[in-house]
Amino acid sequence: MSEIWNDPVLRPILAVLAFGAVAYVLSRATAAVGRLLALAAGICVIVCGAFLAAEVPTDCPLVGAIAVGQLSLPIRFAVTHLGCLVGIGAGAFAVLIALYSFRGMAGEYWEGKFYAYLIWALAGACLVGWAGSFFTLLLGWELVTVMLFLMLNQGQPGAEIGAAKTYGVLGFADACLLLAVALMLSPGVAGKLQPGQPMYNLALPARAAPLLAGSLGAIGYAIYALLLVAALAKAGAVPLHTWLPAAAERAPVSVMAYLPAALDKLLGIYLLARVALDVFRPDHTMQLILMSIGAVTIIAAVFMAMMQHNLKRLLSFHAVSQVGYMVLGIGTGTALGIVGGLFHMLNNAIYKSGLFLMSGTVGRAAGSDEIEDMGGLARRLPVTFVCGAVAAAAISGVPPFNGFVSKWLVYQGALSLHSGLGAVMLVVAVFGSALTLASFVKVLYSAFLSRPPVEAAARIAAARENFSMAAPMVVLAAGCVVLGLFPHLVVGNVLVPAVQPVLPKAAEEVGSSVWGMAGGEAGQWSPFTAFVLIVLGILGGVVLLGIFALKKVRVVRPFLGGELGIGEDRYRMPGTGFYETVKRMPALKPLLEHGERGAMDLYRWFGRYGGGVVQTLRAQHTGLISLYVAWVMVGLAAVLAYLLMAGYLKS
Amino acid sequence: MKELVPVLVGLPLGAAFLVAILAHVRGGARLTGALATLAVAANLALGIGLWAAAAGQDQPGAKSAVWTVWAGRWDGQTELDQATGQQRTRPIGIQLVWDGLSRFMVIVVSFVAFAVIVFSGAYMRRFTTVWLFHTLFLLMTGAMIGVVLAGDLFNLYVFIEVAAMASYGLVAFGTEREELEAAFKYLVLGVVASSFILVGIAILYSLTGQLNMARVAAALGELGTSPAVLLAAGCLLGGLALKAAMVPFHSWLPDAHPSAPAPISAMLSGLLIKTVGVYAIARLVFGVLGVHAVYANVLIALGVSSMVVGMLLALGQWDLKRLLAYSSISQAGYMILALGVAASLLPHNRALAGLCAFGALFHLFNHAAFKSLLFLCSGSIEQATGTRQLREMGGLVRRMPVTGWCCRIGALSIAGVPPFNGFFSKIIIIVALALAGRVVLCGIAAAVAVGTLLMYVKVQRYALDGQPGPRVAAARESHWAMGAGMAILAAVCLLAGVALSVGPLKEHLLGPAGEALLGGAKLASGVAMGGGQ
Repeated sequence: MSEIWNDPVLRPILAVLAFGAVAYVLSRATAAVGRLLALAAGICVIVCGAFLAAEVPTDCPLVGAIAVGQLSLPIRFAVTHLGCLVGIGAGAFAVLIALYSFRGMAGEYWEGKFYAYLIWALAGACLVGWAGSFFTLLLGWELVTVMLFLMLNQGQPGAEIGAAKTYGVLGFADACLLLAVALMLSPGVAGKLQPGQPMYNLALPARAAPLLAGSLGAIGYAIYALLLVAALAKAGAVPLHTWLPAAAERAPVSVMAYLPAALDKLLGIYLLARVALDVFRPDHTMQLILMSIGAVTIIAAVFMAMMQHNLKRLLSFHAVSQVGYMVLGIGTGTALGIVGGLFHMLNNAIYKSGLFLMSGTVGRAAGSDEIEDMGGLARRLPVTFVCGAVAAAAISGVPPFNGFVSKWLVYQGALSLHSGLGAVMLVVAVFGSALTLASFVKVLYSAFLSRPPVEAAARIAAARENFSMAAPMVVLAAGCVVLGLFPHLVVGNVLVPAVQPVLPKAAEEVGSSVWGMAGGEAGQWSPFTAFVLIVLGILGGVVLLGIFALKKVRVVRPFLGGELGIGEDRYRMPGTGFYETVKRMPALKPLLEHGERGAMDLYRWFGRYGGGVVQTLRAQHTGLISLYVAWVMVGLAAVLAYLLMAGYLKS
Repeated sequence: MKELVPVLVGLPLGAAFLVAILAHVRGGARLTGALATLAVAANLALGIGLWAAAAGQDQPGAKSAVWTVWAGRWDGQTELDQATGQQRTRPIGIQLVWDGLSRFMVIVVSFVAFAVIVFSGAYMRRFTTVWLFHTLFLLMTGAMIGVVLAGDLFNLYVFIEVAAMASYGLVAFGTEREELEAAFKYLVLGVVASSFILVGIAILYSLTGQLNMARVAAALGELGTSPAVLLAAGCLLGGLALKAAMVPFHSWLPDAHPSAPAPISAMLSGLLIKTVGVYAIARLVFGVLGVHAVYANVLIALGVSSMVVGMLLALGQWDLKRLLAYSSISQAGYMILALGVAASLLPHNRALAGLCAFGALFHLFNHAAFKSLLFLCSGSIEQATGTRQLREMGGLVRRMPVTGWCCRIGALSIAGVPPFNGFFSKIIIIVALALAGRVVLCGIAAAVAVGTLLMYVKVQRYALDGQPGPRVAAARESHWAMGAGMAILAAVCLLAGVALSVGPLKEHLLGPAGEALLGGAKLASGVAMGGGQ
């Protein structure tokens, strides 16, 4: 028993779980303990993760197993490059979000519990990241889902609606994962997937060469599809994305920035990559499906995002749209694409988390999440503005920020397929980036640069920056810059080694694409040179602005027919109308309207048609005893008829 | 020790009559609750003691100790036949069997009954003539223990009837229009089922000349599956399927279970449909009729239809107790499905059949815990808010933290969320189905798990979360005794899954139960034929 406690992976996870329990128990008395414990848990995971990452790959012993007869549900860990990335990333997000919540959640009646849930969700993410068996992965996976559900339930009135939808969709995803894992044990699959493993063992095929899913026949495709559903629902790709906007609208911003924006992305894409690298090699058809899902996700969600008036909803649609790049990258099946997709996973977690935090600060200052109600915040919240602008540039793929690098890798991956399809995907992806930029222009203008609305002017004028809320955003924005300038930190040290065993040429391909070989090949990208050039360009712009701004501009109050005093608001441009034209385009209009009404919402479809079946069934239960007795008789007759006929035929 | 086994049945039955007498003594009516609680607690202690004693005799490995007791003078031995003047085996006698399966069931029944009686101490205060409740409650508990101990078909029938009679009375306990109607429906359908069970037993008796399960099994082994045997099997399976509320025999349950007072709903859904339904079917198929592919197929069909239809109907409910009742149908379907697959696997893959049976029994155990818990919570909620409609609730976690969190734990358990117990039994069943290569059944089991999750998300969304509605605003936390009853069960939900990996739960409770079930006829017959030790 004692060696279990010395397990280098189990120890921090148990410690984190214990932290959560302490925070929960003390949550009624004081939230301060929870704050400290959340920070401590995050730091503990980061430190332990760093130690683990130093000696990758470690072979971890079996921690314990729930054994029933021959079936064994083993709890076992495996330290991989990717796993460490997920674990450390989750720890870092926990620290940042906890810091942000010091102020952001202060005074909420459930503040203490929030930290407990945050800590437990971190433990779940660590379980997934360092899982060495499917059973361990499943435990962590579901733990994160439940914590998300419990956290989303709080928040503004009506939050429980989004929470229920989220849990419905993610619970479906969890069941798919469970079913896929169970089916891997079915006869005919188990032996091929896990050579050397006993059939009754839910072990993750550790570092085995991935199988071609088709080689297992229909059941192989079924398992692959189920794993795909689980991963994509967690990450939030179309058509399983609808929980994200539903949850975003009323949930506390700390929760959105922590789980759907950061951890769920890490976990979902991690599973997708883990499946692609360890379990199933996608064949051509599946690549096609994956890439199509990715492309549709990018474009559909970004259009929806452009139409939104609620800042958090808008961000949540972007959170969906960005998943498309990751899925597209991993779907290409090339080293470039997979590395790009995984790097995009990390980058997206960083800037999307930062954007959600920005939305929280802005919403607090303006007293509303509606974009119309904001304005003029750049002067009051300069740090938030700069951080938000950096994150917005990163998400739109503007060089030299991190989003550009990972998108570049994904583009290269699509191109390296050398097929017409790859080119189409490339065009869609680039177009999606442009629309992303367009939608963030609207956000930045409306929230920060436009005139403040009259009603909220006093409130906005009183807004101030606050250290604990600004610091996490600064760190995240700095992350966008650093990873943009020095992508090698993650790509070369973590991602390339992670895919190397399966795709041996990864290092050269990625190297030639990102760092530029000596020759001047097309497709190289030198972040530092670009950065210098961009800075020079901006400086030039500033100089020009200085020259022209020397001319005095005359500012007058608006007047009509010589009369002053027309409502100030008539001349205010809130920015939400920027893309009304797009909304009215003949081909797009019906599509967008359907989208807004939930045409792509599988949850709603299930509700509608499932509801029909249920009502039909209910209508049969009239309460008449004679009818019920008739059912019993029919049932008995059926049982008897079957027994007698089957028995007769047999004898 | 084994002489004490009949006390398990006798104590609650005796206490039931004592309660009735006590109620008519001056000043005694107030003490009936204490007497009933004491009797149930003593029974639980006795059950645990006997379990520990028998577990001490377990041989390492598969074999668990089996005690058989002949109650009264009916020792089941040979007697002189007056007509022919020859020695023959006495066909009747009251045999009680204390094997792995029955001791597991006794522990489950006594434990849940204990939690329920603790809860009802405070809950039943709003009713008059509570002593009637206590009498019927004890009768039902004693009869259920009798069912699981019976080693003889006719005693099985008698105890099923006693339990059913008590439950008819308890469903009608509120004596409002709705309750009486539900009780009448339940009565009519229950009597239909009972008569078919009796017909089935009569046919078996006429074929074999025996009523003792082990001896009938031995005799049937020679007869095989003749049409007469299949006719008997059909009557028995159909009748017991009604007791277990399998679709299409389920129609009485959604009226009867919600109409009873909450503690009784907990007993009915948590225990009664399992002891007189699932357990009896399992004993019958594995221990009497003998495992045969046709029986396995009937069980699988019943299980699947109940899982799916029960789940769908529960999803559409807005009445909390009706929703819980329909979900019981669906969850009982899991057990019957797993038992059916176990039966179909037994002839050629005993290990895997053992896994299926283990999953079914563990799910039975878990469902007894969380469904009773959920019904108790529904009672506590109804008492505090005066409504059963989900739409009229909201924000209960904030108003009633103990009830709210117990309800949350129950909901997460039944939805199959780790680390609660329901997750473990469902994953065992689903994995066992996959291992057996029953891919379609595996998919159905997973899909029903999603549906179950959805319906309990609905419960949580409308009842527990959100803003407190007008009815909830004035609600206060229930009496501490009700909280204690719920907390006991919630603790079981939280710990049973984890206990599976470390404790004696697997070694001495569930493991021997599965083995006793699969060993079925052979194991029991060895004992009975050998003269009852």
